[in-house]
Amino acid sequence: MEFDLKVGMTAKLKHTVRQEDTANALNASLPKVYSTPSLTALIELASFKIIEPHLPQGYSAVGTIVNLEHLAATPVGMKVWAEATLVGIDRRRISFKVTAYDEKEKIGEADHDRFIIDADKFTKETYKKANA
Amino acid sequence: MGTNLKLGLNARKEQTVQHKDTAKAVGSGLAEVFSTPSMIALMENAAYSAVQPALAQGASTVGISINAKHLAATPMGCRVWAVATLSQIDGKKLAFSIEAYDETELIGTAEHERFIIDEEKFMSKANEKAK
Repeated sequence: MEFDLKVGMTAKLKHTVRQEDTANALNASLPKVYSTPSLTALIELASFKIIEPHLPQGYSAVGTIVNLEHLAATPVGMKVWAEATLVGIDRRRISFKVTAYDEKEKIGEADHDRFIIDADKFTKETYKKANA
Repeated sequence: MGTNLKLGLNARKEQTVQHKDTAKAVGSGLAEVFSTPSMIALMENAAYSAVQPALAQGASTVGISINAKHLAATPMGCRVWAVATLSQIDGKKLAFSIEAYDETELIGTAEHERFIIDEEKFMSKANEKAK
């Protein structure tokens, strides 16, 4: 299967930090700032945005590696965005470099890999685990 | 400051995969399987829990880096758990080794760093950014 993907493709994804995106929402003892898992989701979604328009019907991509540095804290109400660049293609394994910002500064840097899947086949295979 | 911190401190956090924890719900794909951000949240929670009881009143930790491999997919309804072990102490910077499992297999590994903060000081500095 060939995918119409090229090294150098980019995408940007914006978000406004809500209470439910904070570390505090995950654990009441944690501070009310943008959580690392939420930043991870933004980074994954920005990366997925690059490849999604180029996938055949029924295909998707799952995250396999996230190597992320969360450099600065962001309060609720502030805008954050991630800029992803496709940096490598190895058959179905797609690699990205992603940088994230808030309105004041750079907040994160990540290397990220996703693997292209046939969504139905993948989900069916995974749900065999539930019935094992 | 972190007087009771010792290498080897560990904690285990467990949950059942619900729809809101899937890649489909998070939006990072079509698959209704445990999402990478959800796995990372579980891993961070285990690391946080491993050291929080050893910290002074008013102190907490925030994640500063994570290097995670998501090795296998987990369906909704399955139990998943993460075990985090404190592997390095460098002043206020703490490093953890983390493994995550579902009922069938190892689903993820991570190296994770957290930084010890004074909650009040940290929050007032973060909120200043919004002004």
